Amino acid sequence: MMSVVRGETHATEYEAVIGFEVHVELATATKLFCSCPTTFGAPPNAHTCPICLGHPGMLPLLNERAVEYALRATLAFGCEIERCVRFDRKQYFYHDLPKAYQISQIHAPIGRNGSLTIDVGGRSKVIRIREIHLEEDAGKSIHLLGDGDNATLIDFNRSGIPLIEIVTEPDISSPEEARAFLEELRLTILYLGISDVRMEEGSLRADANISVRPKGSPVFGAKVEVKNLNSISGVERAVAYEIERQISLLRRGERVVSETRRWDEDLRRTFSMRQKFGGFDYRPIHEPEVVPYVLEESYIERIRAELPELPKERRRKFQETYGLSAYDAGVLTANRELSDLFEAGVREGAPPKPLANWLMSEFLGYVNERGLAVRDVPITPRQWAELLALIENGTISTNIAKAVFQRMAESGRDPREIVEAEGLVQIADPKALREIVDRVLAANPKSVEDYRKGKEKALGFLVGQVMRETRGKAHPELVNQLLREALGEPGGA
Amino acid sequence: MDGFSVLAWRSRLASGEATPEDVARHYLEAIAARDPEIHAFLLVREEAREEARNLRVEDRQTLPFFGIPVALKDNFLTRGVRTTAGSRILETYVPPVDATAWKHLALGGAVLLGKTNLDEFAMGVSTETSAFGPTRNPWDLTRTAGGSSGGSAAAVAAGFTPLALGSDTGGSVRQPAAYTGIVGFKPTYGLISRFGLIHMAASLDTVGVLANTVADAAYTFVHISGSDHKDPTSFGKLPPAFANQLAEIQRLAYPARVERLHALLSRGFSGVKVALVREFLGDGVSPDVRIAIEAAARRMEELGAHVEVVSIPELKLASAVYAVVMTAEAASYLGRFDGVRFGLRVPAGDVDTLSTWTRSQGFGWEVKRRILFGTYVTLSESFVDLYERALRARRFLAIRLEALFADYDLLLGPTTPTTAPALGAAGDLDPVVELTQDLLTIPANLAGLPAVSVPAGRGSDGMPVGLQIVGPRYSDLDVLAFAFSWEEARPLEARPPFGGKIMELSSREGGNE
Repeated sequence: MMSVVRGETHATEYEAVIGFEVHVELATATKLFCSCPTTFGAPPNAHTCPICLGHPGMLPLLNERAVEYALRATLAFGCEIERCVRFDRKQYFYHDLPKAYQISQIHAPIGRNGSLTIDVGGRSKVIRIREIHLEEDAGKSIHLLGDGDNATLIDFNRSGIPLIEIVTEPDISSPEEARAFLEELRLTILYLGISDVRMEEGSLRADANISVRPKGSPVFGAKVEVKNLNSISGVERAVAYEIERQISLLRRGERVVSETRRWDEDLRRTFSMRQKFGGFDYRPIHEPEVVPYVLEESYIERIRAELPELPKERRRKFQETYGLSAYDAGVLTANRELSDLFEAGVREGAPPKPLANWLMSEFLGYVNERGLAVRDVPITPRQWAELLALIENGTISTNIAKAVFQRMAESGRDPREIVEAEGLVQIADPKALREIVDRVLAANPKSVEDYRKGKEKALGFLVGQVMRETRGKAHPELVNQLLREALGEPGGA
Repeated sequence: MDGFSVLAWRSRLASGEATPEDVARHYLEAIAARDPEIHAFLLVREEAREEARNLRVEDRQTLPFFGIPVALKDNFLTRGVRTTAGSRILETYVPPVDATAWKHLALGGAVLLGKTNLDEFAMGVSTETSAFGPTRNPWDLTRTAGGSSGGSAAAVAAGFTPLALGSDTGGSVRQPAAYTGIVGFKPTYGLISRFGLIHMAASLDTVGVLANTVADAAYTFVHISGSDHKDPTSFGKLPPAFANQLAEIQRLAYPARVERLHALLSRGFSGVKVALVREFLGDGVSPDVRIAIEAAARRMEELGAHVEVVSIPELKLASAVYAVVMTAEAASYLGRFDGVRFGLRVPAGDVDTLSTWTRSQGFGWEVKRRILFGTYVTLSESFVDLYERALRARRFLAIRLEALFADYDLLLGPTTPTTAPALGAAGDLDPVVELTQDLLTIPANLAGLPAVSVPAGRGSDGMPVGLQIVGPRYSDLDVLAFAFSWEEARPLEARPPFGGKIMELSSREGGNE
């Protein structure tokens, strides 16, 4: 018997089994059961009231907007919908949990059996979502350790903030998939407009459940929960580290302990927090103070109809309808505002491919350099279409267009207006250009000679001189052509 | 007694025969003279006199509660006025808001006389678990006034106030009303907002009215009922006819409201089908009580009611179901008292110990017992067998009662199996009597039904016996109308004698008669 066990634990090939529990803070204006604001970064306990502090005699008042947001998520992830919205109490004592219970959906989560498709290495994979439920957040404890004078400070601003918890099946099997899953989840939620999903502010919190087992084994290995993951790349690193740690334990013939571990981003390793003793008994009872209610079919249909296009569909459309590459479609849709801007520009008549290029290079460069958001740049879709038309019909050169873009971004003025006011219209009249070409040739006999001796580089210099004379407005190809005509073939004469 | 009813005071106040200050003074003096031996109040507000004086004379004709003194069970939050729920853990708690039911009365011109004693967190049947000492029965100081609204009931019965509010989770308004010979009304669940009521078990709790007469209880009920955006459980979809009736009366100011209400209540017994519940008169019910109730039933029949004896065997489920649901919800609710944010804090080296010490010193024995029981029934080992099964049995019982109301308008029985027991006897009660007590009042809470206790006579010990009338959901006005008819019909000797003494006191000192 022993040898069999050893044979298994010393297997050469292992596979990882990973599931996620993701908490998403819903971007409602007020808390789940009271009218306290949910804005981030207020002074401690500024956003509290007798309800979210759990005073006696108070009753929770359900925020229906939070239910609507949760419903959007369940629809977007293709879940079966629990039509009766009801809550349970998850009971435990902790000093930052005011009522000593969290109002949650234990018995009837609003969504079940959904999925999210991810793309990794050119392959699609379906990650099943076990459930999505609504719950309220707890407060935050700050433990101060002094010289024998310890104190715990509690901030209840977060107490009662609405969350949805998204629980997956253990369908993820690599750090790359973990990353892809969280990125796609985050993006989808962002498109749904139900959360700002900022991991660093805690509005998206992911816990990974990780185990490894000999490849092909039907039995799950000991499960380790990794917490404190506050960036997507951190998740990828933590998952990779933990898989490696568990495999090396097994290779050494040791056991993986089922426990909760903390990811330390600075040290890039996980640390044991606490061991699990067979799960905590939350003694859930039905929440008697929040009246259950039924989601009407018409209401569900309305929310379904109002669902925005999700990133996956939009990526497909960008490729199929606008002929963009998968890469371009990915970059544009990674930012919902950017992809909205792209589509609006196309609707205004901008050619898709050039517009995509402009948005990804000049525009994103401008935005990132200045730390702006897409909406902070005052260029309208119509102005984008106009700018691209000016390039297309030869009114301005690409170089000039870059300058015009900068002016547009700063002032919000129309490109045509900028071009006219600053005299930036491209000189594409051969007669006018020929005069300048002649002047430049006369002024640079040395370069003319060099070119004729076969130094192609000299031509570039001459083009540059013409552009300088025209302050960049000369049509570059025409200048090239005129110069060659005037000079004859290199090496000739 | 009628001379000291809310409506009698109201008419004297409207005519200017009495001033709000006279009325407040009258009751404050009665409290000062006799409450030290009864201990109905945990807090008496001398400010009530000044507040009464500050009422605007021009409102006296119209405000429905102009100058009417009210006592509140001390589990109703009163902004700026200490609210203890009868517990050490809230001994110094001053709430930031007013309970909605009280707010309705205050806006109607009522004056808060004080906060009344109760079993700690309303957990008890004799007001003896109060951390601040028991309340005595005004009829006989060696006896309990009942509980948990014992203070409110004793205050009305002793003539300390014409009106008090209580809370009824399993009979806590009706049982003390029966023991003290007054009217105790528990409405349909959710009809009166529970915002600002320190809960015991949220799915069972109701706000109840304690008064000298059925008309007073009805007048008050109509005024304080209705949906409240702060209490989502008060959003029930009322049957349209009932909703219209309520809204119509609520729109009326005094005295039109009184007239309309009287018209509604004075329907008589004729044609009413009543089920006299056999299980309500079984083992554990004393002969005195049985005789009084059967006599009442006969009298009703003489006056045109149709009374039939009906058996509802499922009622035997009630006590067990109640014990599970009530303790599960109560234990859950009480978790918030941890010494962190409000109330008592027993300092300790770390937060966990702080909570443990605060809770062990702040809670009394009965509260701890229920927390333990409630925790046990919801443990994962017992959850399905106890908690979930209790919820199913509760629904079953509610459906069974609903079916019964297809054939009968009302159920009838005693409110309590015996007259008020001696103080200190709660622990020695015959278990059968104890179970019977639960069986009588609890079904109305489990099914959310309206129920009233009205005096029905006296036992051989001279103590009052209460008659309980239960109706289907939203039949609150029918239940009250039937009780009103009984009040008119009942033999005069059933009326409590104690109020009479106060009346003399008042005639002498108040000069209002």
